[in-house]
Amino acid sequence: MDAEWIFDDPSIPDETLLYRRVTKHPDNLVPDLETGRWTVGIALFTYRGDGLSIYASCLMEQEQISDIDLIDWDRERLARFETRVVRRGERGDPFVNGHPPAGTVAPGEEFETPGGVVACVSEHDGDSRVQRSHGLVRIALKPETRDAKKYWNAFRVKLISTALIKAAPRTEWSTSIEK
Amino acid sequence: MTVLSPKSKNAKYLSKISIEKEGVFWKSSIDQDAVIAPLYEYRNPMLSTVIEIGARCVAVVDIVASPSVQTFYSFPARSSNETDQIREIESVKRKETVLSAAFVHAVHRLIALRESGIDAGAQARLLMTLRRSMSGTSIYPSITSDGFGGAIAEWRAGRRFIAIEFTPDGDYSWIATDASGSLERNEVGSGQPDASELGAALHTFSEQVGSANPNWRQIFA
Repeated sequence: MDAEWIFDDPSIPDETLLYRRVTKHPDNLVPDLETGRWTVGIALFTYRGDGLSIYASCLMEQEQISDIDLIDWDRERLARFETRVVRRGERGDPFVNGHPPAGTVAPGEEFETPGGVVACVSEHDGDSRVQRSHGLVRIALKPETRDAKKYWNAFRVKLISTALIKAAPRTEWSTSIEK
Repeated sequence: MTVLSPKSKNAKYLSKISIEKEGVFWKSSIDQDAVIAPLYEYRNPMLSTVIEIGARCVAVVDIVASPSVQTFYSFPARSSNETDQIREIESVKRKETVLSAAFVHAVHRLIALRESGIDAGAQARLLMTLRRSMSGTSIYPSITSDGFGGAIAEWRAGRRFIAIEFTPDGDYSWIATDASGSLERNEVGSGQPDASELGAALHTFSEQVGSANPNWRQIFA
C-alpha cells in the first residue's frame, strides 16, 4: 500500500452527502428488468485517475450552492450516496493479510470494503463554487495498482445498492426513475 | 445505398480471421468469435453494419427479418466506386449463422455508443464473451461505456445483478450479487471470463427474470 496515498479525510463528516454526475450519453443507468424502472449501474462507479469524482455537501454548504447548481440538467442527472456508506467496513481493510474480498459482502452486514472521501478542487467545472465543492471517493489502493479492481468491485456494490437518483432539479430523490 | 470508407485502426483485433484471397474472408474454419467488430452503420432498408477485416477486405453484417439470423458478406474494401462494391456484395461467398437476439441487441447498442470512446479491444472481447455465453432465451444486456474506454454489459433485477466489464488494459471484471444484494462473485482476470460459466449464470438469471416479468422485452422497445 502506498503510504502517501491519502484515501480519507476525517474532517469530512459521515453525514456528508456525496453527489455524482450521471451522464445521459452514454447512459449510466440500467433498467431493472423486473420493474422496468431505471437505476444506477456499475459504469457510474468507475475507479480511474485520482479516484471517483463527486461533490460533497459539506463543501457545497461552504460555497452556498445546492445540488441544483451542480450540473447541466439537460444533459445530466445526479446520483447521491452517503459518506457513512463509503466508509462502512466492519472488518477494516481486507487486504491487510493479502486476501482480496472474494464475495459475501452484504451492505450493512458483517463484512464490507471500506473507502474514504477527500476534498479536491476540480479544474473542469466552469463555476468556481462548484469546483471548490469537488472531491474524490477512494479506497486504500490507488487506481491502476494490483488488486485495486477486485477491491473496488467489492466496494462499489455498496454504492450501487444505496445510491439515489434525481432526474430533474425539482423532483424527489429515488432509488429508480422512469425514462 | 452508401458504402462508408473503411478505417484500419481496429484491424488488429480481427487478425484471427483467415483471408484466403482478396475479397473473400469467409470459409468453414472462420473463427466465429472474431467476426463482429462494428465500425460503421450501413444504412439501408435492412439493419446492417460494416465491419473491417484487415486492410484489404470489409464485410457487411445484415440483420435480416428474423432477429436470430445474420448474413455475412465480404467484398474488397478498396473498390474504385460504390457500384463496384455493390456488385461485389452480390457475387461473393455468403453464409448464414444463428445469433441470439440478445447478442444482436448488444451489437446495436455498441453501434449507438460508437462515439463514446470504447476501446476496440475491449469491445471485441465483450462481443466475443456475449456471443459465447448468451443463448436464444437470454435476457438482453444493458451495454454502456465506463467513460475510460471500457465496455460493460449488465443485467439488473432488483438488488440482483450480473455485470461484466472489459477495460482497455486487457482485464475483465465479473461481478454478481444475489437477491439480497450480497456480492456472490467478484472475479478479475485477463482476457475473458469463462463463457460456459457465464452462460450458466445468465441462463439462471434469464429464467428468473422471464418468470417475474414475461414482458421484459418492452423495456428495450
